[in-house]
Amino acid sequence: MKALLVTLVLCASPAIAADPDWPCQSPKRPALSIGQMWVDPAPDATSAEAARRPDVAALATRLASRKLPVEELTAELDAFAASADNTTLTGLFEASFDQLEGRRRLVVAKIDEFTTAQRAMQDRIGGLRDEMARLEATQPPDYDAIDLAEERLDLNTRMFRERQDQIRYVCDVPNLIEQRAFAISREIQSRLK
Amino acid sequence: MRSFSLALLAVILATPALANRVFVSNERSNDITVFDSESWEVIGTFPAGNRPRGIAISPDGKELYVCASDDDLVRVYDPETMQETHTLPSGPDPELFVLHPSGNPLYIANEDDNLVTVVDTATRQVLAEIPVGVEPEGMGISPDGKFVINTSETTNMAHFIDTETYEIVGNVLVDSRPRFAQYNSAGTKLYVSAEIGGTVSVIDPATREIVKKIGFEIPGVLPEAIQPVGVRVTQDGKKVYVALGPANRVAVVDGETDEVIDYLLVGQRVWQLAFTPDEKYLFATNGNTNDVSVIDVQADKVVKSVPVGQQPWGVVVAPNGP
Repeated sequence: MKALLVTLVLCASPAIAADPDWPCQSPKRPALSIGQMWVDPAPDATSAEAARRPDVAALATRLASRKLPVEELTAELDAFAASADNTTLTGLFEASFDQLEGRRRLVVAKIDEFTTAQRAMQDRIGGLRDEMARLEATQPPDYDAIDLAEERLDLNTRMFRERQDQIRYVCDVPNLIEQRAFAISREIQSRLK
Repeated sequence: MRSFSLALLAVILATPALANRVFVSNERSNDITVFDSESWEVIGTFPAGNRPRGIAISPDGKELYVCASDDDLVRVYDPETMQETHTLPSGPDPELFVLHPSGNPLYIANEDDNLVTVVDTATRQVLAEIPVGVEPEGMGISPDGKFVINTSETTNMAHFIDTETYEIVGNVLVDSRPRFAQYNSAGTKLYVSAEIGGTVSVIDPATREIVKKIGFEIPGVLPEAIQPVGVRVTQDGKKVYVALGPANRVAVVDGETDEVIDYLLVGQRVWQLAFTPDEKYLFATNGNTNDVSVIDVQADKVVKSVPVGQQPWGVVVAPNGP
């Protein structure tokens, strides 16, 4: 009975629990999966072995690096694909995907860290506001202390807002990495035999 | 004789009987891409205000409506000349809307104000503002035009609104972040997608009960990537297509059993869908690959990718001409 209940609860729970602290507009997805971009041939032990070959790994590194647009790597891909079978090409995608996915996970972790830091700053601003209110209510008022507290409050509030504005750009990064991975998958898939 | 056949040929060439214009709203490049439904050639692009998202066309094909979300209004275009003719009041932050089957009025979801705004497309006047749940988003209408369905993202409900009285007459609790509501043409089933819940609820509109929840499982894809958004049903009700967001798949569902038959790999972050009037093709907007996937409905195969503007969101196909 208990097992049945657990199953029911699992079925009823949503696919993703919305993270209320996640600062980006698109829902948080901590990890990508290869199946989002690649269907056939299915990655297996042989393709995973191909992914570890030095020549495959080297090309994967160039593909995964965001320095060059994918379109500029088409000649290199053509040359590689000319002598590569479908398993090797699958391995090439796996190797590229793994590198990009690793980088994406780091970015998501950084966004999480950022959110924690912002929350701490919010708490600090709340404390400074309380301090201001206390100083203002004290008789006779200590104007030097009030000025100092106000300055600290302004500085912290400004820092908080500036950082909040920056996050919009950071929020784009997991997406840009995902776009790169998908673009690579399309390029490699178009070269399957 | 020869001149006769040439003349005939000229007539045939001049009247591509089955081609319709396809309009795609590009949320980030702030424009609309227009392409031909048969040749898939891009005909043109025109600016459409700030953050165009929801897009619809009048049943006579003479007016194209675009939710310019950041302009807080609906822009109306002549689909032939691609020129803006006028605007309609929409209330703040219009995202999605649905047109009454007769072509009037237009029901608009105002995400920031928790309202559905009803606008007369002829007099350009607001007829009603209906308070609904938190963050209204998806809009659907029954084939007989008697009920408008609004989904609210935060309240997780599908609200049934009577189009005569503008009153909410029923609420159905669905899964997290409902995005889109679509009836089958017989009016016997209402499909409501839930982006975060990862499901599509099949509701019996007569009893307002959920009769089935469609779940999606794709080998090698983490469940959190499966985010159902756009839903379209074939005229005969036999096939239902569901855009699954960052899973980069369109699910093909049997409209009778409501079981998933297939998953088609399309572009990235697939969002909204639209059929050609003959249902030969289904177009799917891919927000992150900046393209539209063309799906052959008979074969359930992706046959082409059409590059469009930046972050394509909605898509509508012009009806057949007179």
